[in-house]
Amino acid sequence: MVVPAWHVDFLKQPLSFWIATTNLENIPEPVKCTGVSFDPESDTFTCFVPAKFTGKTFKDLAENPIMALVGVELHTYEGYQYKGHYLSRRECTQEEVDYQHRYMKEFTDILGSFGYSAPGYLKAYIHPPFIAISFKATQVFDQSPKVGTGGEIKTEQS
Amino acid sequence: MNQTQVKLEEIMPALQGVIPSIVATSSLEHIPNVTYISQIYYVDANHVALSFQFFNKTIKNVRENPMLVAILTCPVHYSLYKMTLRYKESQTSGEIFDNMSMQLDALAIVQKKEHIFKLRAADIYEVISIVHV
Repeated sequence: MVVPAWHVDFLKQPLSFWIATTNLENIPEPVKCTGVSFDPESDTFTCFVPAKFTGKTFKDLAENPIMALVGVELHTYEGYQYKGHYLSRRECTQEEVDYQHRYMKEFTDILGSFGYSAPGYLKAYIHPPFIAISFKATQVFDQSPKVGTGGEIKTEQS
Repeated sequence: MNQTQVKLEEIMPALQGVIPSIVATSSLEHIPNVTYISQIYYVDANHVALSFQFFNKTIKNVRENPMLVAILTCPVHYSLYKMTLRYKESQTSGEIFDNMSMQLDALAIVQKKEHIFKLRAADIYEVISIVHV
């Protein structure tokens, strides 16, 4: 296990999730996730993203299968970065689409409590159809904003 | 995806630090990194400055591979912009640094996170492209 067990509950919160890829010319590509699911048994993340934003992402993954995912708690900025190897992609199931709408409602409600426009965010990021991208985590990094941040988090099994 | 090229002056509301931006970088070994950044500051028609607060993976990456891609959100219309940047230099004093530091101090007071928003340097980037996504 690479991802600490306590991250399972952390990841169930309406965090801000973004993935990034890069091509072999080292031009990166960030994409907003409309939700993430995590399987602790296999250290596998499934990241949901609007297909509209994935043009370069899949070109990158075709030549370089390394992915990064960041999850940040919006009140505290506590965040972790998960890096690993791309596994697969597919269209989202209806159950996953329903989850994404629930997740984005909770996520934008938090942003609304900060004074941002929840409808504005939904308009910006909700663009069906959605794609599910899976990768196996091989490294976890602390990304909370503090001096010394960025260190790798290792579990006893990793 | 249709992507419309825009000029830096057209996205000034997205550069006010109202909504934190996302930045992605890559190491020379083709390992991506993605994180939030407090501030992307307008310098001139072809340059912006990014706040350097911690020596983290983003800073390490751009020192070895200068390409950075940022996603900015307009706080008025919630339009998204993808900005491709090339790192040029790091400034630890001067007008740009002082102005960024003042803006970060203001953000820190509003968000009660003074320990997070201390500016170490203003990193200057050349704007390669901006597209509306």
